[in-house]
Formats: sequence, structure tokens, C-alpha cells
Amino acid sequence: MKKFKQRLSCSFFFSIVPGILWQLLFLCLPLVFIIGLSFFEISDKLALFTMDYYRVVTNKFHLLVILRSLSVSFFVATVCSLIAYPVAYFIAFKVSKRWQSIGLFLLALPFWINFLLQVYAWCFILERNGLVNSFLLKIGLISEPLYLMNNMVSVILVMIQGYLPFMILPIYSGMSRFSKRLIEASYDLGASAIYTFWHITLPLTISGIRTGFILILVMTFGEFTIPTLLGGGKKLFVGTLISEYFFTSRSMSQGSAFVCVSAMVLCGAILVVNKIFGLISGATDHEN
Amino acid sequence: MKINKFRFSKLVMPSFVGSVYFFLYLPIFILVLFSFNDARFVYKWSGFTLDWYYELFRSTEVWIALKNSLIVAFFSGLLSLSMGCLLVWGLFRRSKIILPLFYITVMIPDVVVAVGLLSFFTMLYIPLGITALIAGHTLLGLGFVVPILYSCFKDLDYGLIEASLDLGATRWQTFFKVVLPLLKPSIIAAGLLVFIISLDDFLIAFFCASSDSQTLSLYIFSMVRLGLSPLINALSVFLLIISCSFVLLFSNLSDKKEFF
Amino acid sequence: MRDIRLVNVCKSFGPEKVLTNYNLSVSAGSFFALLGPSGCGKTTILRLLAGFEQVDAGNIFLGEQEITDLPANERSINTVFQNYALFPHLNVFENVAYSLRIKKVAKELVEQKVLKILQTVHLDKQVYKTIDQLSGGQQQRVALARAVINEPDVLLLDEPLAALDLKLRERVLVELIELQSKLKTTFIYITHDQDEALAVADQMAIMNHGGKIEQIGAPSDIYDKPKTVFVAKFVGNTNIIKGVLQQVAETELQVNLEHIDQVLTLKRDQVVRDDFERKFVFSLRPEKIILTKNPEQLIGYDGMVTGQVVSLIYHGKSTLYRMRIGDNLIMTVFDQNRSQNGLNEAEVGDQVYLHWRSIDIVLLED
Repeated sequence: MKKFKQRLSCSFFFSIVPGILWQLLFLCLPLVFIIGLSFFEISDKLALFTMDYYRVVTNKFHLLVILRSLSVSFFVATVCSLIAYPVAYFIAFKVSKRWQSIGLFLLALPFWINFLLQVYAWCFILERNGLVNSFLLKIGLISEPLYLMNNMVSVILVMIQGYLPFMILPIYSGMSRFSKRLIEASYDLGASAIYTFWHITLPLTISGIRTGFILILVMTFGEFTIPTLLGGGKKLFVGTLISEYFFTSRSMSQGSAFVCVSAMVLCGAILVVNKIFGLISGATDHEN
Repeated sequence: MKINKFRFSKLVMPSFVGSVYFFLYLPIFILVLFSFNDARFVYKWSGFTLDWYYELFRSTEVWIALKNSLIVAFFSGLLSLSMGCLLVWGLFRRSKIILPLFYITVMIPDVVVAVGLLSFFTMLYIPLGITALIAGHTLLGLGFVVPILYSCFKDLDYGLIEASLDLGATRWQTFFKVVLPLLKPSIIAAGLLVFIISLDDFLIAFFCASSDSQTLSLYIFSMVRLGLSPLINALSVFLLIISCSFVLLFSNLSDKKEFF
Repeated sequence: MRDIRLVNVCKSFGPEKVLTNYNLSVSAGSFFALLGPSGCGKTTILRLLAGFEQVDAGNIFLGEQEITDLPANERSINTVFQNYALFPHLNVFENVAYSLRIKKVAKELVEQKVLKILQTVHLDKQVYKTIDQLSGGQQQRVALARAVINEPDVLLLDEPLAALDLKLRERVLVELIELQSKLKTTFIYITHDQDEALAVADQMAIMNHGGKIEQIGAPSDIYDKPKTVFVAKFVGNTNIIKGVLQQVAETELQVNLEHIDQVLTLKRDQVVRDDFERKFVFSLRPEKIILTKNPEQLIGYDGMVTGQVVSLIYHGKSTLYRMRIGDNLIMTVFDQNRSQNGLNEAEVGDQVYLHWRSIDIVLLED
């Protein structure tokens, strides 16, 4: 058996090389590049070590951008958690197997549809003379069109629509491993529905929320498309600022420094979130 | 108490869930609906028309963008699938350090990946364009192909591979004659996924494309920037049909396996 | 402790009528077994009693209290689930203490009660372990402790031994019997395994498909005096013998038993039916038959017939023979292995003699 595995490993070394090489070359190396770039001022083939970029990137302006993105991400993740949990609960426990597959399928479908198109459709809906305003004006609820576009409202709304399935699916996945018998056992022992939810269902499904929360945090923090198309361009997000640096002004080093700082902030945020969830699980577990 | 419970779970919950789904699908509904609207730049319904579909067909820009997108999607899919298969076979159930390497792609914000590629290409004076896009999309593809294929491979009956070797096949013969056919559903499923991801990708195309390598997403982006036109709606219906058929195929193939 | 009664209960799942006018009464403090094949409705009854399902029609009474519409968490009935349903995020102590915590019992009292019950089920060394650290048998005892700590009127046990291995089952059976006599709680034990039911029950009910109760009684009554063919066959092995009416008198009937060459005398009041045209059906348990190699006359055994051994299965402590009697009848005989040298009484193909007592031939209604 051992010899068999040895024989395999020798001759298959080369089959794993292309994949690994690709990953290292196009993902890891560029990341190293970015980190490296942030420390060097490049001009005419000369590279000077400097911390200047970091100094710039940690000023008020940049921190404000990071803070803005972070708070939007937290907000979106929280709202998604609140909406997603009942939906996942409903799909996991209150519907037949057939409807479960249909429900899950419908959740996954938007992932396969070009997100740009969906953002475009939102423009359609939220514009000054778009669907929502036309409808509300027509039925007389408002006298002046609402400013739903090119501000935080549209950005947050579309983020929620875009990322909600990413929260529902992990929560559902956790719930599908949760046996209905446990709820029955809790009732059998005299607990009310609320007590059962708080002490049994929630602690055992909270890991799904944690996964989804962190996932959405990571994805929305660096979001570029939505702020660019719906944000109005006045207020900058991490994603749009990065694109500014790398694409528009081509100041790679500055941009790299910003990417590094933002990444560190994101990591810090994830650690905090993990800690908070850990505390919540602990609280419901060992309440007594 | 009984009555309240009844009302809650029979009325409130389903309507809430229903409205959530409605919210999720609102943009898609609007897209389809207004692609048939007979008016330009107007958000009111002015009659049914197929004009926009005609305009779509006649637009050369769209065809060029489509061509580019298809080329990139095809080649990146091919590359990521072949490298993925080889990798999975080579790892042979021993993942440890190597497999997590492929999970990094989805754990990092897309912007960072795109920007990394841009700086990588720029620093090494590699010209941007279709080739760069293929490289980038292959990277994206690997991030999906490897986990999918690996989870399918893990569930394979190890005895089949042993039987093949026992009957005299070499390792490569076993790979082509036994393993690949068994992995076929997962390969096709992963291929569909990678193809669509490449087709829908915007960020990497935005950062790494050149002026003569516009993809579909970039075309849509520029159109949105310029102004809203129901032409996009018509285009979106087509893309919708492609997406839907792909995802139906995908779910048929992964019926026996759980991907979530 | 109160008794529990199901009165005219009906329950359907969609088009399938599981229970129709079902009546059952279990007296307080007894160990009651509900035995039946899978799908006969016994799990439905358990879920109705626990409160996880609602009856379509009929009532459930706990003593004088009607609990038909009472939700599960307000009934003084607790369940030991088949897969235990232990809360994985709570340790043993917290699992058992769960129902006390709900009632906001004082901390010291909780600790006292939990430790005491865990001692009773021999888990005093596993008090603070997590569920995944326990073996199957230990998990089952946690489930038991959790359910009885409440001191419910009734404890429902849903196939509690199903997930345990054979050797463990016997031990657990004994522990359950001890526990029940100690607590004096009414135990309702659901199973499809007749050995378990016979072992634990004071009273048992045999159920057939469609929620039909075939017979209720003490285990020995059910085993030795089965009322129907179903009961005779489901509980233990039996030989079914048919008989034809030979003669009718005022207080007696003479029935000619087919193939085994015996005429049985039945008391008139034993026989319920009016129709004597149909054949009578009798049961004779395999272990009540003695085998001899020669046509001897055994004292007390008034029935005898010859037969040929068709097959045998050696079980170590016993051998199960299948005999051909005449042309048409196959009978099973259970022969305890009393000889030292491991030789069977008979080999395949041998011609042997079967002996029985006519009081062991039981008339079955149909």
C-alpha cells in the first residue's frame, strides 16, 4: 500500500505543477508585488525604499474612505443576516423537499446572471424619473421625485440585493444539518417556542450566520461596481479609490500601500467579528 | 395561542419570504419586461416591440464584444479544467497545504485580485488584452474547478482505481480510462460554472483589458455609463437565457452531489 | 401517577388512514409495551401521546385531565427518542438539567437532582462531558435521565434499543426494568422486537397494520394463549394446524386435526364462532414438541406423529428442525441441546417422532 502510494506520488508530481504554478504566478506573486510596491518609489528603473506612501495612505481622507466602506459593509451584512435567517429557517424547516430544491435553485440563479445587468436594472428602477418615482408620483404619494440614486441608499440597497443569497445559503446549510428532533425534544421537556429558539435553534445555527457575515464583509468591503455605477462618484469607497489609483492615475505604489492598509483593516474587522460571534455562542451556551 | 401560531407560520412567514424573493428578482423582471418596451429612454410602458432585438443584432460592437468574451471564456475554461483535473489526480487525496492554496482566490476581495493582476502585468511589461484576460479568468476558474473536482474525486470508489491498476493499466491509462469518465459530470458542471463566471466577469476585464479587447461586460458598462437604452435589456434577455440553461444543466449534473 | 387513555382516536396522513377509532388504556405505574411491525401506527400513537401530532378525532386523557388539545410542552409526558436527540452544544449536566432550567428551579436544587439522577443511571463519572465523548449506551442513559428528571406521569420510549449492539441491549433491558420499578412511572415502550417487549412488559398490546389492536394482555398470556394467527406468528414462532369439525355435542366439539392424526376435544363455550363449516385454526409452539428417534409413548404427551427431517439450523444452544408430516404439512420443532457431545438428535432425512400435549394446542380466532 505504501509502495503503491509512493509510486503514484513520484510520477504525478508533474501533473500538479501546472496548477500550482499558475496559482502562484498569477495570484501569490502579484500579491507579493503589491506588498513590495507599497514600500518603494519607482522612477526610471530605480527603486527607493520609502514609507511615505503609508504616511499618505493613513491620513484622514483615506481613513474616512476605509471607514465608510467598512460601515457600509457592516450595515449590509447585518441587514442581510436579519433578513436571511428567517428565510433560511423557512426553507429549511417549513417547506417540503421539492420546494426546498426550488427555493435553493432560485437563490443560486442570480449568481449566474451578469451582475452588471442587474445593477443597470436598478438604475432603471431608482432613477429620478425611474420606475419607483414614476409610480409614486402617479398614485400621488409624493409630489417631488425622491433621490434614490447616486447616494448611499442605492448603494446599500443594491448590495443587499446582490449579496443576500450569500448569507442565506450558509445559514441554510447549517440548518439542514440541524435535526427537527431536537426542537421536539425541547418541547417534550417543557420549553416554549421562544425558549427553544433561543437556547437550541439559535446556538446551533449561529455558525452559518458567522460564515455568511464574514463572507459578505469581505465581498462588500472591496466592492467596486456598485459604488461606481450607483454611488454618484462624490463619496469614495475602498474599491473606487483603488481603481482611481491603479487605473486612472496609475500611481501603483500609492495604490498598493492603500490596498495593504485596507487589507489590514479588513483582517482586523474579521477578527473582531469572530470574537463577537464567539462571545454570542458562549453566552447562549453557558448562560447557566 | 394555537390560532396565533397558525396565522404566523401560514401567512406572515410565506409572505415575508415571498417578498424577499421578489426583491431578489426585481431587476431581472424589469430587464426582461422593458426589453419589449416600445420607447427609448422612457420608463413607461409604451407598447410591445421587438425593435431593440433587431438593433442588437445589427450592432457590430456587440458582436465583437461577444466574440472576445467567448474566446476568453472558452480558453480560460479549457485551461482551468485541464489543470484542475491534472491537479486533482496528482494530489490523490492528499491535500494538506496545496488545496487551501486554491481557496485563497475566493477569500480575497475581487478588487485585490484584479489589481494584483494589473500590477503584475504592468511590472513585467506584459501587454494587456485577450491573453491577459485569459490568464486572469483561468485563475478565477481554478478557484472553482479545484474544489468542485476535488470533492467529487474524494467520493470516488478507490477500489475502481485499484482494479484498473490490477488489470494492468498504467497510471495515466487509469486516469484517462477510469477517472476522467467518472468525473465527467463534475467536469461538465465545473466547466459550465467557469464559463459563465468568465462571461459575467467585469472587474478583471475592467483592469486588464485593452482597447481592442472589449468584452461583453465592458460593453454593457460603457453603455450604462453613456445612458440607459433598452438595447441592453434585449441583450440581457439573451444572456439570461444562456445563464438559465447553464444553471439548469448544472443542477441536473450535480443532482447527486451537494455543492453547498 | 395517572393512567393514560386514548378514546376513539382517528388519525390520517393525507389519504392514508393510520388510526381509526383506536382505543387504548394504560394503567398508572405499569410497564406497557406496544408491539407491532413497522408501519402499523405505533410511532403515530407515540407522537400523538407526546403531543407532536394532533388527533383528527377522539380524545386523550391523562387521569381525569383531557390533554387532547394540550401542546407538547404542557403535557406531563416525556419522550426518549430513538436517536436520543441530545443537544450537542450542551454537556451531559446541562442536557439533563434542561427541563429544570426552564422551570427556573433554584441552582442548588438543580445540581442536587441532576447528580442524583445521573447516579441512578450510572453516569456519575460523565457529568460534565460533551455528548460526542459518550458511547451509544451512555448517550441513551443521558436521554433517559433527561426525560425522567421531570417526574412525568408517562415516559414514552421509542425503540430505545434500536441503536445499541446486541450484548448491550440485554443489559439495558434489565436496567430499564429496574428503573421503572424504582420510579413507578408509567412506561410506554414502542418496539417491533418481540423479545424486548416480552422481557420488559407487565402488559403488552400487539398491533397490526391499520392501527388494529390484535390482542392486549400480559406477556405470558400473549405468548401461550395467542388469539389470532397474526399474534401467534408475530410473537415467537408457531406451527399453524388446521382442523375440520368431526362431531358436535351439547358441551363439546370434536375436531379432527389435519395431517397430525389427532382428534381434539373442545369445550363448547371455548368456541366463539357460530359457523362450523370453516376450518378451525390452531397454534402449536415449536418448543412444546419433543423429538424421539423411536415411536415411544411419553407420559403426559398424548399427541404423536411421525415425520421426516427436511432441514435443520444449528444454533449452539438449540437446533431448529423443519419436518415434513405426511405429504403437505411442514412443522418446526425447537429442540434444546441437552446432549454433551454436540450431536443432533436427528439428521436431515431421518424419520423421527414428534410428541406434544393437546393442552398446548391453542385455538385461534380469525
